[in-house]
Amino acid sequence: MSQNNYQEADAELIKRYIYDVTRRLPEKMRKDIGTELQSLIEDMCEDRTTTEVLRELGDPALLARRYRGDGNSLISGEYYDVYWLFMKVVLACVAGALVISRIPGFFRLFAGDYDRQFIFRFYTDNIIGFGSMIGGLLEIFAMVTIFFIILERFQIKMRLHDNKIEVKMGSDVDHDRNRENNNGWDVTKLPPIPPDHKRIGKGEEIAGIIFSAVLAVIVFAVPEWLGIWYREEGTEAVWQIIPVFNIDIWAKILPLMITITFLTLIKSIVRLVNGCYNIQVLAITIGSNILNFIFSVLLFKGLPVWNPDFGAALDRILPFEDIAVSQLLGSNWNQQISGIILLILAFALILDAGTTAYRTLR
Amino acid sequence: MEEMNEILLSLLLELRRGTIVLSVLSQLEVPRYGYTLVKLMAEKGVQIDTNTLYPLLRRLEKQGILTSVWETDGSKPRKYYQRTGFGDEIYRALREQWLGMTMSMNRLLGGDENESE
Repeated sequence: MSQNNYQEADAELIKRYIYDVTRRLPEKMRKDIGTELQSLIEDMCEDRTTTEVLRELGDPALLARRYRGDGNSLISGEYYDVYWLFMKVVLACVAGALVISRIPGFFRLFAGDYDRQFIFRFYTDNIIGFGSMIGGLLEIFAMVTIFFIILERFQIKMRLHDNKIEVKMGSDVDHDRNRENNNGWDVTKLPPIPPDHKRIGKGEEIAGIIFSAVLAVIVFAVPEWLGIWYREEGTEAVWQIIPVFNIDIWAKILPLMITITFLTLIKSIVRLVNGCYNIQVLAITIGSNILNFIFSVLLFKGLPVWNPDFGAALDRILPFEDIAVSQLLGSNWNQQISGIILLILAFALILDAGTTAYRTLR
Repeated sequence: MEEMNEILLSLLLELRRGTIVLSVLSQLEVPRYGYTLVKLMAEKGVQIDTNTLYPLLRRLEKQGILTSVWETDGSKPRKYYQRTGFGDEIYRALREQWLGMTMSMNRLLGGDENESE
């Protein structure tokens, strides 16, 4: 009986060890290295105890670093996958939005509605525009990279604080010298593998990131698109928009909106990187939600966010003669809509923090 | 005293690190399992840590110097590594260099005893 208990405990230790190594590796390498380590450890256990074997293999963080071979690279294993995913989503959204914003110009061309001046401007705009688009994408690439580098350094410091391990970002010689006391790591420090109910669904988070990124791009590049689209009868038949937001003071609104989107994105990134609910995820979620709410209050209560002309503009294009939208909305609709939105937001944020806390602590 | 030991240790490690790749390559003319290689080299007097060897094998494979194959007929799957043709070339070149260096080193090191100063 006790023999079985030993075997189970050992098998569990091995599983934890391999998990602790492979979770720091890029997705592609995980399965192969995991299998290789499994058979290696089992073979080594033939003449030694499991604990001795794992001690000999040493700190999982070190082993993972050696496998990655990138001790000094900018963005390492755990963050690498998220970094690339994020980059692809963001660049795709931005490129897509920039292309879309040029489409009205193309339509005019096909509609035959142009003069020589338009043609000239059209081609120069697009050629120069293409160049500046590449420039813009490169800028974003650089910003996202720097952002992830900072995020990773900050996270690494956080983890050092948790585990009280001292990992020197130096050459391998330093590590070898510390080999004897294994850098302060010990087998007993292996974290348990998070059970399934604690895993964070990748699909959900990715969808969230895509949504936030698309919204951010629209808000940044073409905020006037968010509103009521209509087309006047007649020969011109050009699409017009009544923007929902107060575009005139967009210079003030934009920074706040970008900050809010940013906070949401940071939260998603941390959740993706961690892959499961833990104290860190909980702390970042709560922190980001609180900040999110503060900035939202500043935005919706502090600034006249809504298009003051909205009601009147709607009246102008609606065929109903008896009903005046502007009167329906009332004079204080600005504050009222803001209040409702903030209420909904508060509810959503508290719910989010609550479910995160529940799933972390149970 | 402590300091001198630390310095000695780190210099020794540097010395050993320089020879690891060559020593590993020398044993991989035929396919071998990683752990077998560790024990084999230990028998021949070369200590290499398992947690150094395994990442190294993977790195050499990535560089095209080694190739690997999963053997699944045993009770568990094991990965066997072997030199590629390119690896053979690399090995031959490194080995030649090493033999040359050894002769020079012997001259330098052996010479000291004969110096009158």
